[in-house]
Amino acid sequence: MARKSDDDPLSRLEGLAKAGDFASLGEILCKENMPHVRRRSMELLFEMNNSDAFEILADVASGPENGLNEEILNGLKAKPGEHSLCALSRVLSSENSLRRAYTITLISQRDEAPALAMLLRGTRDPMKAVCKIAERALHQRVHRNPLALAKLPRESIAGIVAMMSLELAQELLDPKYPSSIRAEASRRLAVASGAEAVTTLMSLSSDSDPILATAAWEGLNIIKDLPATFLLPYLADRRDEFRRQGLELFSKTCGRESVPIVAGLLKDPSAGVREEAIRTLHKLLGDESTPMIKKLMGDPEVSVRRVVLRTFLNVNSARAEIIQMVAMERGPLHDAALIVAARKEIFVKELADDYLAFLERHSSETSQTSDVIDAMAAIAKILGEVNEPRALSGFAALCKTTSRRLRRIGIESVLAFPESQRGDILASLVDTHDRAMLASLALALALAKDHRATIPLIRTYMECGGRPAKSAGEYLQNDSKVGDVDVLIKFLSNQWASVRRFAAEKLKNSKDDRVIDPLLKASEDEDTEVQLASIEALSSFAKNHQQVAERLIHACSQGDITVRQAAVEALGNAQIVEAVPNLIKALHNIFLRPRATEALKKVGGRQGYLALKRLQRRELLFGNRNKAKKVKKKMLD
Amino acid sequence: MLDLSQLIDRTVSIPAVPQVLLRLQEIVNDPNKSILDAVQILEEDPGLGVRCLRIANSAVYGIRTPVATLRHAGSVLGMRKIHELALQSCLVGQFDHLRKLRAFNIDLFWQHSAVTVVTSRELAKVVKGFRSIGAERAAACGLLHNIGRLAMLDHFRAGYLDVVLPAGGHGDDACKAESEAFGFDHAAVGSLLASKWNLSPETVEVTRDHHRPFNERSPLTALVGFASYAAYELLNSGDYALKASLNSQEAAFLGLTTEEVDEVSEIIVENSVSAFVA
Repeated sequence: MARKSDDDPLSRLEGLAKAGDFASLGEILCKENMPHVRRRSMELLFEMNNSDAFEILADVASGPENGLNEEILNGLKAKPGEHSLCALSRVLSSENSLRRAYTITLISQRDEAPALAMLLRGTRDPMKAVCKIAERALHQRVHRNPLALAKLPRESIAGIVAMMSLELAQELLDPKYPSSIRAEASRRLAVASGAEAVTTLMSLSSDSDPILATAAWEGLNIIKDLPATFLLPYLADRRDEFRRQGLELFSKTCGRESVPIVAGLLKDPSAGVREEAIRTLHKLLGDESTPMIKKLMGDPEVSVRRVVLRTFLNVNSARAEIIQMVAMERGPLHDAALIVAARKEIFVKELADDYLAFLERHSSETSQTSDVIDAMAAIAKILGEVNEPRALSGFAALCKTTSRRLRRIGIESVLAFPESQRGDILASLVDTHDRAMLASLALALALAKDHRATIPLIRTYMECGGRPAKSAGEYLQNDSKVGDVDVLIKFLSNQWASVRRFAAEKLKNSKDDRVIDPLLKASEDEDTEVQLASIEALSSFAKNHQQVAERLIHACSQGDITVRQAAVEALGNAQIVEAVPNLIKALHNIFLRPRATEALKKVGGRQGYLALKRLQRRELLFGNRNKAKKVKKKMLD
Repeated sequence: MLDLSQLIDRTVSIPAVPQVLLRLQEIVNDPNKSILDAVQILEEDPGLGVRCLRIANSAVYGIRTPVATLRHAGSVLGMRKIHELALQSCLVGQFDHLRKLRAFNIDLFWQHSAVTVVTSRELAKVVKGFRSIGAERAAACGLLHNIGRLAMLDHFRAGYLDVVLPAGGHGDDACKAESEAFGFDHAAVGSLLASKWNLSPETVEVTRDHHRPFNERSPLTALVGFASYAAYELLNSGDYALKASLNSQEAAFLGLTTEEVDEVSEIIVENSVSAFVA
């Protein structure tokens, strides 16, 4: 009996349904050939009544025609609840336009509010005919029950109301509707423009509901060619915010004839209105507005003075006023005034101290704003052009900032000064990690034949590339100090690794015993390049100096591999017999083996000979292990 | 020995032509009759009248003021459209009882016919070689080309489905299966019904020949036969399948350029959606 039940597809379906295996039921619904089995799996999925089952049904309904698509869609429509509605919305992504159109007609029959949002989605369908159907359904639904919109998110309400007729939008402004709907209706009205829309929006702008009032103001802002005369009542309103917003709108449409009205508002008790009046006057008159605006330079409100300053930035005739503001203001507004002055490239002697103080103050900051960086660059340019000697310390400060741009401007400004003035400043900056700056400094000092140029030149030669390194090399060739052993010994303990390496490399050819101890010390340097150069330099002393030989023997068994290679080579060249056991040991290291073999051959002796013979015999017997492995693998393949 | 029509006549009961359709046919064919005569018939048949009003008010015609009277609907739709609607209405009414068959989806059948009508009409408009046929004639033939299937289904019921469904339910394979099982196919039955209902000779020809080899078909039959195939593709797999069918080897006789295919497939889908929902 059990076997019969297993063979019966319908019984199997029941079993799958009991187990909640909606995925298998969905697969049967898609792939089964027998219509009655497909139908039953559809019915069972409907009976499961959950989102997963409905999603599968929606996917089948969206797919190729299987005779049940329409029935599934009708079934989903008939099922109450959001799961079925979500499933219907999935069908709106179907590739089949006919199915999308049919789904829209079904969704339009659902009473839930989200159905409206789905219809809105339908109005964005790529197929015009589908859009039309969705639009028509949406219009009918909204006309029938506009209050349903209130349950939707703001974006959906906006999208739907934007599609509605002007008459309906006006109706939706009725106080019986929630403010969310009324706000969107007012925006719709604004798009329509016209005198009627303006008066409606003006009356709504004073509504006690802030959402609606804001929407009305936004709407008024959208309207093009808003008659200025309509807005005059706002300018005389007792509410500060109304006067400000009214003036903002007024400025969009008013002409020069309105200057007296706007100038009158410069004395308004509200700071916001005064700020707006400044902007409007500047917009109307341009440079001619300066005499009127400068009266507000002494305004008690900082925000108003800040707007005055910004306006001065955009006029050409306010040079004296800006200088005056720098002198008058304190704190952040003083800096703002200084920035404006710098951006307008204003320089008078009175401003020099302020500029320098600005540079010094901001160069120590680690994260300057773009405004400040621009201003510092502008100040450096101005002070550099006028060769203000006090500015050098400011430029030095710029060279130490974290901004690469400012460092470049700083060094360029310093280099613009005469050699006699800039030497000390350049020398104070040589401890830099910025290679471009280092090269500029070193070459400038060398050009001035400054004795402090040697180390920067060595660093440029060793650390930089290209033309600067080449020029530095040429200067160093002519520098007698560089050939002096004492100087080079001193360089071996310099703070910069590149200088220590340079010294060690230079000492390679020295036969002076005084260099042994410093080189032995340098062979244990923290920098491996310095170690390597030192070991190479020491190799010529190994034959006659026991301590050097010991150091080399020690170096060939530990440390960086390049240093060890150099040590092995040096021991071979010096023919150090004591090193034979260490050299035999080095034969076991494949990176040292070739050099160790050569070294042992050079040193000679039976011990070394036998070690090499053993190595040779082992290689003959077993060959290269890796090579053997490769051959074996190839044979297996 | 019985010929094929006698065999069908004795085997399948062909339904009688409905009176409304007969009278409308007379008006359409009589040059002295006007739209007012057709409207008079609509007034006598409330079901058909309401359907005409609904279609005239649909988005397809885009009339801003609502069409409230049958006379207005008549002037909007025209005589041929009224005749087409009457034909559809009669056919739907004649075979509506087949809805009870669970294994057969009659809605799908009508959807296929509606989309074939749209496709035939648009192709007849766009393809230069078929313009002489006339879009409305092609559309009328598209509506009725598979009518024989309903007549056979009505008569044989489950027996017919047992023969057709294993062969895929449609297309040339199903047609062959019909011939093997019954001695005749739906094309022969459809042509007999069309001639009994006094439908136009080309309708009789299209219903009879739309499964014949391509080189034996008249241009109109070839057009409707292809439209039927394209409609099936659209319904089954969506817009892209329709475009693919218009780009396929089978559509080579239409001689459409790529741009024309894009354009006509979009129009077909648009109009099908409108017809589907209206």
